[in-house]
Formats: sequence, C-alpha cells, structure tokens
Amino acid sequence: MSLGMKSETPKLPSYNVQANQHSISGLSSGAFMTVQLHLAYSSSFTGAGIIAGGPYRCAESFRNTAMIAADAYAMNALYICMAPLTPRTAPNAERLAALARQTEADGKIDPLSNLAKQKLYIFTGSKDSVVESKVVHATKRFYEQFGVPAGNIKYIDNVPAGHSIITDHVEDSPLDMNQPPYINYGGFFQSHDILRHIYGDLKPPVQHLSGRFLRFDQAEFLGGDAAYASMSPFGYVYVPDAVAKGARARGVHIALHGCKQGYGYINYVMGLPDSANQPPYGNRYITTTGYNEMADANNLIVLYPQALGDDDNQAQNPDGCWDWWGYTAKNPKDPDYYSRDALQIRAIHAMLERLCGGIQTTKTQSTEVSAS
Amino acid sequence: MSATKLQNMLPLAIFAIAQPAPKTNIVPLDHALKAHAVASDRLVRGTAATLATMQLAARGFDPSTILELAEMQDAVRARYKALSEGWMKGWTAWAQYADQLKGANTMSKFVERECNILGQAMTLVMKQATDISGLQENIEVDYAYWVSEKLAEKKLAALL
Repeated sequence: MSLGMKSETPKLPSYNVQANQHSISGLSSGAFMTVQLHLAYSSSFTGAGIIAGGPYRCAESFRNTAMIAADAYAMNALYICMAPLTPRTAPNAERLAALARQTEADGKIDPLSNLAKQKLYIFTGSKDSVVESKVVHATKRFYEQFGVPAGNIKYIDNVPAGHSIITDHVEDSPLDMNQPPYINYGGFFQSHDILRHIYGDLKPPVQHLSGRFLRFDQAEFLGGDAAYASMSPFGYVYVPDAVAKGARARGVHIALHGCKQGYGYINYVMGLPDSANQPPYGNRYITTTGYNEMADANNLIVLYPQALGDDDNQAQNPDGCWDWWGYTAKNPKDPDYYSRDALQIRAIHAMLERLCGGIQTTKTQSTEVSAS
Repeated sequence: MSATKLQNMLPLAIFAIAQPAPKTNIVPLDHALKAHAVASDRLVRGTAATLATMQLAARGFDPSTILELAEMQDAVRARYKALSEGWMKGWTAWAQYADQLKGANTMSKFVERECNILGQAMTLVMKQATDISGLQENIEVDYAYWVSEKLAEKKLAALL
C-alpha cells in the first residue's frame, strides 16, 4: 500500500448523508465499544454488528473485586467479561439492563426505546478462547431486555472460528486461530453479512473500489484530553466515488478494530515497544476486511477511528484497545466510559457528526491514501 | 575471531562497562507499595469471599449450588489443561531450537544462539508464571462473584 501524503493536518470532511441511518460494528474491544457507543447514541443508529463483544457496562459486574473502582473494572473486564469460568460467572444481562435503565434515567445515554427497532448482528466463534461465547450470549440477552424482536437479531455461535473477524482472503490466518492480527480466513466476508443484516437488500460488493481512503486528524476531536484518550493521531474514512461527487450517502458505518489492530499498533515485548519489528498488518483492518467493497456498491461511508497502544502514557493501554472498562477516566474512583460524555465515545460521535455536516468547520484538503 | 581482534576490542568493552548507569526514576518504594496494594485487594477479596461462603454454607448447599461448584471445578481443570498444553508446545519448540547448533559457525553466531536459548527459556518461564497468576486471579474473582451472587439469591428467596 502506498500512502500519498498531501497535506499537514487533514481535517475530516463533510458529505451529503442521510440522517440517523448509521450503523456500527467491531471486533473484540471494538465490539465492546460498539455496544457502549450504540447505547450512548442509539438515536443516531439503525443497527450494530458485534463480533466477540460483551454487554453494556459489564466491567461493572462485581464492584467488590478491588478497593479502587478502576482496578475492579479492569479485573471484571478480564475475568468476567472475557474469560468467565462458567455461565454463572459471566455478565448478568438482566442486571446490566437495569444499570442501563438507570444510566438512561440519569440522562447519560439516548432513550433505550430506540433499541427496539434496531438490527443486530451478534457473533461468537465456537473456538474463541479470548472472549468466551457465554459472554457474547449475555450480549444477546441484554438486547432482548429492550424489546428487540427476535427477527432483528442475527445471532451466530456455530462457526468454528477463533477470536477474529472473518474474511474470504486465503492468506489470512486459519479460521480457528486466536492470534493477532485476529483476521481469519473463513470463506466469506463477515463485514458483508453485518451490513446486509443491518441495511437489508444491498447490492453485491464491487470487485474494484471506485472511492478514496482519506486520512484525517483525530486530535481535533479530543480537545485538551488527547493525553488520556489513547487514540492515534489519524483516523481513516472510505468514501465511495459517487458520494465524493455529491450523491447522498445511505449512511455512515463505523468500523471499530480490536486490540492490536490499529494502524499504529506496536507489539510490546517484555514491556518495551518492539519498534524494530513492526507487525505487517498495520492497515489490514481498514483495507482487507471487506467493508469498503460493500460500502462502495451501496453508497455507504465507512469511518475507521483508530485507538493507540501505549504502555507509558496516562491511559495504560499497551494493546491499543478501545476503552470499555474505564482506562480513559481522569478520576479512577468514578470511571465514565459508557456515556455520551466518555472521551472516546464523544470523539467518535463528533466524527460522525462532522461527516454528516453536523459540525461546521473550515474545510481543508484531506490526505488521500491509495489502497493500490 | 583472531586473538589480535579480540585484544583490540577489549578496551571498547571496558569503556562500555565503565560508563555511568543512565539516570532513572525507579523508586523501589513505589514497587513495594504497588505490591502491597495488589496484595491488599486480594486479601480483602478473599476475606469477603470466605465470609460469603460461610454465610452460604449456613443456609445449606442445595443441589444447584453443588452443581455450579462442580462446573467451576471442571472449568478450572480445563483451563489448566489448555495452559499446560501451550507450555508443553513452547518447551518442545525450545528444545528443538536448542538442539540446532550446526549453523553457529562463528563466535558471534554462537553467542547469539546461546543467548537466544537462554532468553527463550526465560520467556517461557515468565509466560508460565504470568499464566498461572492470571488463572489464579481468574478463579479468585469468579468465585468471589459467584458466591456473592448465590448469597444474594438466597437472601432474596428468604425474603419472598
């Protein structure tokens, strides 16, 4: 892939986009984040795709794990939300639904009544050893608490896949693998299934992309909190050619990568960044998971926000995961990672608004990235 | 490598050793305090779980409680088995690497390979220690969560 840099600080442009027909999907930490963002701004979305992700605020399942809230949430994330030993030690969907209702009553998220009409794709590989299937099952039960009809939920748990997003590229990892880059070959594109389920009848994906990748500045969406955000300097967006020329986009799909999948990810070996041996998959999530081909055929914009791994910043997030347990909180006694005010959620939604022209800013030349 | 070359390199090696250590901000007290904080959390969690277990026992173990405990035991056994298999794979690969000395035909290659063998062994030991510690924490957190949930259920049932 060649990166054709043109400008210094590219800004995310605005387009003509149909309102509130947006969707979001993600893998692993991107899936956990998908659920948080989906609930925080449910009025903006029409559906969500969750690959190996747990229910809303599951990191708060058992507060008595540690004395400081942030420590308790981190342990909940690891041992209840990802690797519970039994179904009884998995997140309790009913209790988390009650917590969501309380959050709604506190005015921190959009009305939960929005969820009843949403389309949901929820997937857990039967060979996933990173996020256990019983957690993902709790996610399905969680959404059911809000009246999402059974026909709107596509729940898949019988594919022998490891922890990954599945593609149709034979050079990707074997299907049952549980290793980075967490992109496995399964003979189909999971991204296509997600978009088809959310938007209904879609045209088949294109063979050759007509549109452009734009690299944009993420820092402008973080304000003075960039040090806490654990987000990369740049995000990416795929814009079909017709949309770039003024056609109305059907919506924006936000695609959230998982841990160790952001473009800036550097592996940490014994606590040190392995900057001499960069992993070869920096932009693979953006370019090879199939979202763009389907988006191109159907005038969808795909937004790829990027998390940043760092072991010595204030976020303590070496794997570049999205924040679904509170690491971006300035106050470790009261992490706020699940609401419209959460740093990453706020930033990503501001990107969505910008794409739709909701925030007026001075337009500048974006950086075009050739995928050839 | 010739003896002359080695002699020429010796002053460089001594120079490198003689350099003052770089300044760091490592404070041993911080490490001790962090260890204490983590251990304290563990103690508090363990004490709470023990108390909850005693309260649960006082209310009697019903078949579902016994079944869930057995299920947890099975899960722990399965996790440990999976970890052990991973460690065994690691040590097998290490033994194969350590057995191949044929290509180490220069002093630098030989030293590199010996260091690699040592480093790989250390990495494997570190991984085992981290895995065991993780599994132990997983059991502690999950058991404490489970017992608190069971106790809450029993208390609620008694009220109804």
